[in-house]
Amino acid sequence: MTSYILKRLLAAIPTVLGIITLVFFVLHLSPGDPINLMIPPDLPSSVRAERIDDINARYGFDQPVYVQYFQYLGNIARGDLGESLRHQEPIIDDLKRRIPNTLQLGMVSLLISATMGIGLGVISAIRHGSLTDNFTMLGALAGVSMPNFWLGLLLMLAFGLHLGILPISGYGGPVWTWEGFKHVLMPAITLGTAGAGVLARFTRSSMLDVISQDYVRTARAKGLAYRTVITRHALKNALIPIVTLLALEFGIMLAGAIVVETVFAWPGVGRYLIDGINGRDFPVVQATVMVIAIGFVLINIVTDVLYTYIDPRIRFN
Amino acid sequence: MSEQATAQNTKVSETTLARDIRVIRRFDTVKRFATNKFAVVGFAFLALMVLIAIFAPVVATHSPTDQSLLTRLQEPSSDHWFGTDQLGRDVFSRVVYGARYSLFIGAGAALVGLVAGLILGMTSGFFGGWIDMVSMRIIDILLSFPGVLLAILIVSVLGPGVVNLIIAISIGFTSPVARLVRSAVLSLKNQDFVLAAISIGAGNTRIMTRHLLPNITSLLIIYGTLYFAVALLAAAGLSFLGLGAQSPTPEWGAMIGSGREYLRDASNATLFPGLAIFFTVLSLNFIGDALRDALDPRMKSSGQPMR
Repeated sequence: MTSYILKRLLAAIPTVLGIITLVFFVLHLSPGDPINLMIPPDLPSSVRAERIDDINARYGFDQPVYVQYFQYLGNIARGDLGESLRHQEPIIDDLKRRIPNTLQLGMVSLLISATMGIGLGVISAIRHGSLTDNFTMLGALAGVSMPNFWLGLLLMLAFGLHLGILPISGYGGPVWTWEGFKHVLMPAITLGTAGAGVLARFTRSSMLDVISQDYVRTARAKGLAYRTVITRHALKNALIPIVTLLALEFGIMLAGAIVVETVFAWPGVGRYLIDGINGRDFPVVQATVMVIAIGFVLINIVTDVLYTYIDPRIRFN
Repeated sequence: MSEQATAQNTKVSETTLARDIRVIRRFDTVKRFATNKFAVVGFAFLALMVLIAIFAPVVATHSPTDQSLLTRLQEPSSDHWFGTDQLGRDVFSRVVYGARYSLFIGAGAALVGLVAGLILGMTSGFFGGWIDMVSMRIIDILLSFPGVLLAILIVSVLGPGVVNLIIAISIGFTSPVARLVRSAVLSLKNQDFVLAAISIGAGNTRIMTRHLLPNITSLLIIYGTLYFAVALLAAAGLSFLGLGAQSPTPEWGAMIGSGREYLRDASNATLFPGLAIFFTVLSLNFIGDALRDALDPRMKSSGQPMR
């Protein structure tokens, strides 16, 4: 197992290098010079020229691109992601503060997705073809089809502005505290709804596959209670592909968090990225995109490892 | 002479037979699609939206961009069916015109992504060798980005705007489509009908367009519909963030983005464009699900595999 994990991590190195390279060159070789992205277009030309010289000298943008590239690689290897243009602070410190917030939001969303999605999927599969099944699946598709930022605003309107039960936005401390929990609830529901829909659909079809298998019939035939068969025999096996999807959903949520964090003013990585783009803070954009993408790669590895761990058929192949 | 005539006859009847089978199959697909009630409802709604988009000037009751400070933030009324926004613009007319932008961006991004992925996947699957090696490595890297993140990266470089939005979103679709097409081509290219085509001297282009392409069209149609839905959502999200269509443009996401600050006083400016996005995407997903069941019964309608 350890050697497998190690192998996967080693295999990820070229991918990570590829991501860094791609992000670097997309931002550097773009038609708009990165410096142009950083300077407001309405400045007078003399001020503009001065600002450009400043930035060039400070960040080494006057060097050839390949020199900058290798410098950048070297800096990353030393844990230096550069400096924010607006705050003149190391980006790595900002990210260290913000990554836990995004992970908290992601975890709560995942929990909501998993409970709702798997629960509804199982009910749907058990009552296959019934009205309940149809309604649940319609609801699941509706969840997938809903723009999450819009759902967030609707929740905000209902629970924050009209009913006044939940805080409208912001971070209220760690999610395991009461205040923190109240703050995370709406963003997490917003972020988790689409995932719940996907999971419900997938759980249903996975359960239907398993329920029609011989061993489930055997278990029923030998007189086991229906509930026992569903939970112990069917669900346990149906969960194998679901776990994979769950991990994948977590990765997708990291990307979805970019929008949701902006809606709810959640101080996470996604909001940092959007602030960076809006503030023409190009090193922040570069570092944040890279970190999210690498996080996505790591989650994919965890998914595969988890998959081999819970499914012996794969482990022994 | 008579032998020749018989041969010709057999040939003719064989081709008509093949055509008949094709027609029957197509009819079968349509029938299977039509028995799905959700799909029919979705199709009807989408058709309605397309008509609204085409005839927007006729359907709209006001100009989508005319501002009127006297009628700001109004509730829905007989004059303004969906109320007005913070600049006094008629929300109904903006939603109507918005159909043009949102449908165009969604369909455009799905189409561009599909065609680019098709070309990339087809060439690398068919020719193999270094073309395959290089393109698959690039695709691996692109696939390690969540689609939204890739789109945000590209838009932040290209700048906002409708065309840039289409480019940014379509790149996220290119790599999964390329991979899908490639694996389909890999399994198809050694089958007898392709080998037969090669042996009678058909050129590469002919084989790819006449023999391989027809075998993957149903795959492309299914993915195209689902990507249309995904693209519409992604475009709305980016415009909402201010990275896509810009303010006076009545794009649905952008409308929600500019209306959100007035959520308390005029929720209608946020509510209605959102409903438009929601129902359009839902319709597309209905159609996509039904197409998947109708065109390829072996594919299971599970969760959406791509987002």
